[in-house]
Amino acid sequence: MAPARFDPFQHRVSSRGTRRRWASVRVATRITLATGVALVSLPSFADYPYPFENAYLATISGTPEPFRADIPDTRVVERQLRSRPDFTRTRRVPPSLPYPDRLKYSVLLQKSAAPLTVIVAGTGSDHRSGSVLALMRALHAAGHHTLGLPSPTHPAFITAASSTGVPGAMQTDASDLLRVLGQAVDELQAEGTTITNYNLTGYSLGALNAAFMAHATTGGRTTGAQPMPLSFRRVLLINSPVSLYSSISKLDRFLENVPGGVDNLDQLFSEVIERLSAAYQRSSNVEFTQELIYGAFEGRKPSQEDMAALIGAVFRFSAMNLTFSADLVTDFGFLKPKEQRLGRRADHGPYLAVALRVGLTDYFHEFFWPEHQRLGTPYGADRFTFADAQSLHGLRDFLSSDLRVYAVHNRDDVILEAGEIDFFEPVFGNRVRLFPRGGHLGNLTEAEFMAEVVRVLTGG
Amino acid sequence: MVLLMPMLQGCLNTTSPGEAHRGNSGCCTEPVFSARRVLIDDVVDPLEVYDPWRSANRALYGFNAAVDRYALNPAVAGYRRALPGPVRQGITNFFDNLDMIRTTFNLALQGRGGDTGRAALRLLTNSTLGIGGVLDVADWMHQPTYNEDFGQTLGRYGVSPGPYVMLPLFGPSNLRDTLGQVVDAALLGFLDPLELNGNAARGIVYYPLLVLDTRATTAFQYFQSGSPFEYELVRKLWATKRELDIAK
Repeated sequence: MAPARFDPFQHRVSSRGTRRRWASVRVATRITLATGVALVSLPSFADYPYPFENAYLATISGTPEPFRADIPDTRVVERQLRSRPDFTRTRRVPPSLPYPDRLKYSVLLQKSAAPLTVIVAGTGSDHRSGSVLALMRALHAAGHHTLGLPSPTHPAFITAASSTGVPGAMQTDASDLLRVLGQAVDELQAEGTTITNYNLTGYSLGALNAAFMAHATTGGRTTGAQPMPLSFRRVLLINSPVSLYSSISKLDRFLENVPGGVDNLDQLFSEVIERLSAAYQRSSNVEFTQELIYGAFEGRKPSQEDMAALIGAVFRFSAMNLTFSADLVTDFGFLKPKEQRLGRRADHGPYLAVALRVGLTDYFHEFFWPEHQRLGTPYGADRFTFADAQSLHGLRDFLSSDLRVYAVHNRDDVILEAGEIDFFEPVFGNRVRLFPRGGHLGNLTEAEFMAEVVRVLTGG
Repeated sequence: MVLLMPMLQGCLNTTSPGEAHRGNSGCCTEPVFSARRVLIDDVVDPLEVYDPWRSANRALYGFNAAVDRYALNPAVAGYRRALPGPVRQGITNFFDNLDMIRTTFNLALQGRGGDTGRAALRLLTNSTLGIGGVLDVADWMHQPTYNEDFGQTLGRYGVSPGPYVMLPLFGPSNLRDTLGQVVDAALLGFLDPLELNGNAARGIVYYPLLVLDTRATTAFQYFQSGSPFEYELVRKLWATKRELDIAK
């Protein structure tokens, strides 16, 4: 029987027949497409069985059915921390921001003692996003307890767990993440879960977070000034940015290059929304995540520029949630006038049109940097060194000498600037595996890629 | 050209941004990125939906979220524990089949003869072979399925959606579709295929099951989108979905 699928606005899901046909059409399309692409790309297909040569298409389409890793559909449990950090007691978060003051996370536990692998979500995603769940399930199937954490850039994290309310400073975010993780682990152990060792991974921005978390637990400084009891046996960076600033500026530029110019931005968003609505009816995902948005464009073949713009648009949705939440938590006056109080039912609508047009580079220069200057966050005397501090460059010595830290990446990842992929091999040596294609996370659930992830994190 | 869009300068917790601008907008300094700075003249907000009653709608959005959290979600969890999957599926099928009555009726009103016939056949098949709709036999036979309501019928005849409405318990709608729901409900009440009228005992089983099944098969959860703009995004998604339903 088909499980109840997502149709948020119907009273009832009633068109199962249509859906089933849809599903079979989609599967058929995928197989046809995959086979077709596979045939025309036979030479490189031999080394790596991921079908999409085009990095944008890969990023948008993900992994077609026949190439997917066999990941069981295990039910993931959502949990909530039992207490909240003291700093959240003193700040006045507007009641219109609908997030709980105790952070939620997800777990999949083994019945007996086992290693734990922690997964940090990517930009704007939380502990229930499709990529987190896929990683949790695959690693759980391989015998680990798994624990999914939201990204520090997710509004719920900004509200309940960010010590500054202005995410993006890697050291600060790492100490926030480690504090949350320490608390979650304490609670799990108190309930009788036995953890034999700790492993850490993250994808996209979550990978950069993981690198800084690993560094912090080996004597690297964190602003939290809290001793960290955990130490990680294995750390894996999945499709990490090299420099956060260059990645966000690249993603911002995707939207500037909308076909027909910036004036067509609204048309693009309208189209995204239209397709999203259609996809929303047949998705079981409840979050406005990139999986859902990309899913909306499944089976369609947009132009190269369209695809870049779409990736930019997806990213912009995350950015807009981030900047507005950070503004509300800190009362900085970035989008909302400073000191203006928003009541429980305050209308966020008027800010939306503006937030949609503000990129993360705008956030960096006109909010993040001034606010961290005011807070006296160390690591950077000026905005350039501060931008550079949010990168793997600063961790170079650590990454090249610490044999517990691994990386997987794709040579055609679209979030990297030209040449940035060359950072990995000299630094990681034989602890990195670069896949020939897959775009940004397009091949995350591809069988060989996922097998590599599991091998590194569970291997001896 | 700069659009003097006053929205972001006033106090937004007052009812209308426009009012706030005209009135006492002296409470706050302009933010770094104001509408004045960012928006240009002829821009059409891609997420705009006509929502003159948004204050009440927002309140109801919060109310629905609370009902979900404290009543419906716990009830659905109990429902899932109490009844095995195939039984719940049978219940879903049963209500789907009942909906096929309004679908058939509305297809006929839309003048879609062939579709009306196929929908009627589906209704007939499931009501008989499917034992009152519990088994979706028509689906096994690959009969096409439809989902039409009176709101869609009105939309097809050019009736505009009117203001966005957040219905208590039922969720997003608009004036046209709310009217449509009333008409659809009246139709079912008039035909009364389950003979609920004057039969309190049946009603006691029917209505709670309808509510549980509806909630159990709707994956949407309030305040889980990860966006502080959830109200606006849901509003836009819903409006667009209805447009697509009507155009289908």
